[in-house]
Amino acid sequence: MTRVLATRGIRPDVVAGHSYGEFSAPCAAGVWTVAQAARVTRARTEAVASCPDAAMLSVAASTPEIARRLQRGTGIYIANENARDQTVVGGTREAIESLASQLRADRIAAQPLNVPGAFHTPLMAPAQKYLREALRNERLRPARTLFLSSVTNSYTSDPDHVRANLIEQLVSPVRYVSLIERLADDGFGVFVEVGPKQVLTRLNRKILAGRKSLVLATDDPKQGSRQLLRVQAQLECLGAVDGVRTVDQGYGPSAQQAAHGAARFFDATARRREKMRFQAAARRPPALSSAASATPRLPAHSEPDEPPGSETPDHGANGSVATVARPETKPISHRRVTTHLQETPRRAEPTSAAASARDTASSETIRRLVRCLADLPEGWIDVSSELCEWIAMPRIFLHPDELEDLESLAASTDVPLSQLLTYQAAVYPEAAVRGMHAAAVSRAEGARRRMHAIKLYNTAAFAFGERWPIAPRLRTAKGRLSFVSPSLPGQFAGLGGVNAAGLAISCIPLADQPAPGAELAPRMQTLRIKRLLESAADVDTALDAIRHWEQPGNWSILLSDAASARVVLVECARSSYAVREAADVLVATNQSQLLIGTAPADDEEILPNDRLREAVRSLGHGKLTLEAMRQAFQSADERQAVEHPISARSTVCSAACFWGLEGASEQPVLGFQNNDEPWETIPLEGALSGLHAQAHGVDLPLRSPMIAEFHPAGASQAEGVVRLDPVQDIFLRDHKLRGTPLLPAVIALEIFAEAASTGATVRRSARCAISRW
Amino acid sequence: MLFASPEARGMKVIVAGAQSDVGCELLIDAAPGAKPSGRTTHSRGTVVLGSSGLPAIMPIGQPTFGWIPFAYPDAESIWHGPSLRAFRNLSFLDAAGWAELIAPAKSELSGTRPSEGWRLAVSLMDGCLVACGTYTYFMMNQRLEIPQGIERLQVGREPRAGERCLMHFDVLRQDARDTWFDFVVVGEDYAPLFVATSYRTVLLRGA
Repeated sequence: MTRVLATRGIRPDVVAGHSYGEFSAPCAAGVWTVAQAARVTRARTEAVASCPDAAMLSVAASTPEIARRLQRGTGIYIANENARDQTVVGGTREAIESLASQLRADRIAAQPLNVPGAFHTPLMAPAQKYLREALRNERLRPARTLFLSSVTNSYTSDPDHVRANLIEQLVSPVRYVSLIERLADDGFGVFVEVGPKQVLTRLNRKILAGRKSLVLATDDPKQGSRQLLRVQAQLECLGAVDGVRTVDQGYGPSAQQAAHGAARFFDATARRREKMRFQAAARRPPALSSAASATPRLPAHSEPDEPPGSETPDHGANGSVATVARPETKPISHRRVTTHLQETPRRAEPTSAAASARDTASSETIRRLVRCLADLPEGWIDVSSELCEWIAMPRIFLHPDELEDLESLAASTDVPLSQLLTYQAAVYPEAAVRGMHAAAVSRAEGARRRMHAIKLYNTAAFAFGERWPIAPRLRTAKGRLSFVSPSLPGQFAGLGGVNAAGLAISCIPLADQPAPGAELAPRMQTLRIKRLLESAADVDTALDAIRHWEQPGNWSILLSDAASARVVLVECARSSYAVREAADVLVATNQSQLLIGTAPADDEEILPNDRLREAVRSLGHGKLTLEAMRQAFQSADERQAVEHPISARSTVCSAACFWGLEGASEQPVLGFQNNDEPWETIPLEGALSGLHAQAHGVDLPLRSPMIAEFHPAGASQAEGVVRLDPVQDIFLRDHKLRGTPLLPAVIALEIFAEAASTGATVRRSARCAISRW
Repeated sequence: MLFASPEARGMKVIVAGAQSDVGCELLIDAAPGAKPSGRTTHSRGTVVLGSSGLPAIMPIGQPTFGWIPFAYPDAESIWHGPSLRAFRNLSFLDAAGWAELIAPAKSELSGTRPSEGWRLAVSLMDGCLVACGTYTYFMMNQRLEIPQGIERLQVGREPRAGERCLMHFDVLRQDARDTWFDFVVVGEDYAPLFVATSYRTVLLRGA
């Protein structure tokens, strides 16, 4: 149910549970999975059998009143304080029956509960040790949503606190009244019961009587599935549903703000008008398009010769004329890519984003995309503090030349640097959540054929009002490896690419992993891809760099290189990562395969992966060609469209890029298709010759602070040179034995770690010189 | 390796072996004018590249009796300067203990060296070794011990600059010369940063 609500944009600010609900609330908070909760529930159920025979009784009386009566009795405890006039007690069966008789005599309603024991009372103590043991075996994660404990009545996201709470609540009374009052006191105004029937909803209404709040139940047997729509509609009218927040009220109000603020008087009709106005604005043709055609273009990032800004009038059914802009420029023509690559000087001048800025047609496209981004409704882009930091202090995150490129781009496109930074950071994660990528390698009969492909499904593109002009774009910078990446104009890179040394990378966000605590690093994936492609010549070097990412984010990454014909899948999530090397085929989607996901993926999300793997495997060694790979992707798409038409329709547009070695002579080829435009292949052999030369000449950065130089030393050894200066080196100045600088042991460990990763690369380079991919 | 004079000195690191298991040896160049000339071995080890296989979180509990602030002594034989003072609080039991450490930015140790590319959180790791040394000093009759070797060190995620880290150690055994420890260091989210097996210290003086 939580997942269903989430798909409708209903996401809680805090979760809490009543009694056994404290097992399901951590699921909603992402602390554990349903499967984990089920395992522990079973253990809990078995543990209860070890407790003495006991019963529970629901009484229509206040807790203080019941407590007064219990002073006279023995073996009965308060178990639940459900409402001011409803208390549940638990105790030995005889004691409960005796109390029930007394209450009947006093004309106080009391109802025995059909439960196997006296939960939330000390009578459950024998079960605690079994439950503790069962919980010890489960890996709990920090909560993504705050969890309010009914035992301590305090918020936590610490998995250990949640674990302790589950053990403690077995013998502690449920102070539900205090729990709900605490939430109300803290400003939470919307209470949604997630579960069967409306028991808690009725309790909540009683507890919150007289307070400004909205209490909703997701289940109503009389309404069926319509009840969910009612909940959604009510929250939407409050402006408390993600993705449909009001445009004119600044950053969308949270549920608690909505319940207490002006959004209570929100006009849904006006909001829908506003939404339509925004969507129309996103499709509006750019005002500056007429100026674009007059400016000369550079071939590297240029758009085709078609005049920009041309529009086709589209007569709507109601007789009014709606102006729908065709993209004023199409992505770079593949032939022009080829031509330009062939014209690339053996030592390419630095171009990168700055060069593309000189192309006015590209500039106009960039302006238009940035404007679309800025016009997105509030809340579409998660304006995290890290994103603000990135925008405010780009010098911290960017190398000087990268910042210089962006500043130059900002100047020539007349787009504020802050917006360009947002454009770099915020586009892909939302756009590529349904992506898919695959790599296959064949080592049969001495061949080292390799195919690598990525397909992005831009479910977010509708917000931009058009298909995205994603195309293969060449990026070159002095002293670094050049690379081609399917990307938007003016961006560092896309979510994949291939460099002059033959290293290919692709990555897709992992949707089933816990959301990262820090948003910036995952969003800056394109910058990381750029840096990997610029500096890594093989899989191992790239892997080493990925291992050193701080805050890696949630990504599935495929790496393949030509020199070793290896294909490796890496999955990162928060601080964990896992690696698998392929024997032949690796296919990955937005669902993790190596790491444990937070929620079990449903068939709809897993099947495309399986279908594609089946299709690629069926190609066999002899048929591993670019065209065959494209057909495999297409076949998986078509089956998806037949079996899950809704899912397939939700994809507005797609872009696919394939690269590999093909034919008897293993020629490098790049293929590309944007939506249903014609599929084209680009033979890169001639084009990459210039890049190969650059690859030979480039000095790959060692990234080793302690090791100054590295040399191959024989077939299987490498030797690194370390220089230690007691005057300059801080770790020697700050580490002394009786006043004499002493090399800290940990520096030796650091040298080993650097030597092992860097030395391995040097030794490989000595064995197989980088020639072509 | 001591630096008796202010001159810079050289070392060589030799790597050899398979792609994943890399043997490393660190050799010290002879000091200028020293006899005999040539190199002596500083340390040897094997680095296994790949996933550490550590779990995502490692709950290591909290100190039983609360924290005691730790101040790096300025007058002691072994002196740590500001860049190597990650260890903040301690809590010791009979044969175990906790330490609280604050991870500095890795660039703090860089100085004139590149600030990027550090593989280990060196200052933090050093703080852990100091914590073990502090234990032997306070709990074992002022034995001053320094690092001697480590059987295995698994490296998890990198700490963030300023992150509060928690270390738990167990004393495995001790003889007249050495003490052996196991320790685990986790970050604020209980993700393991380092897991050390059989870290060995050697007596410098005391006891």
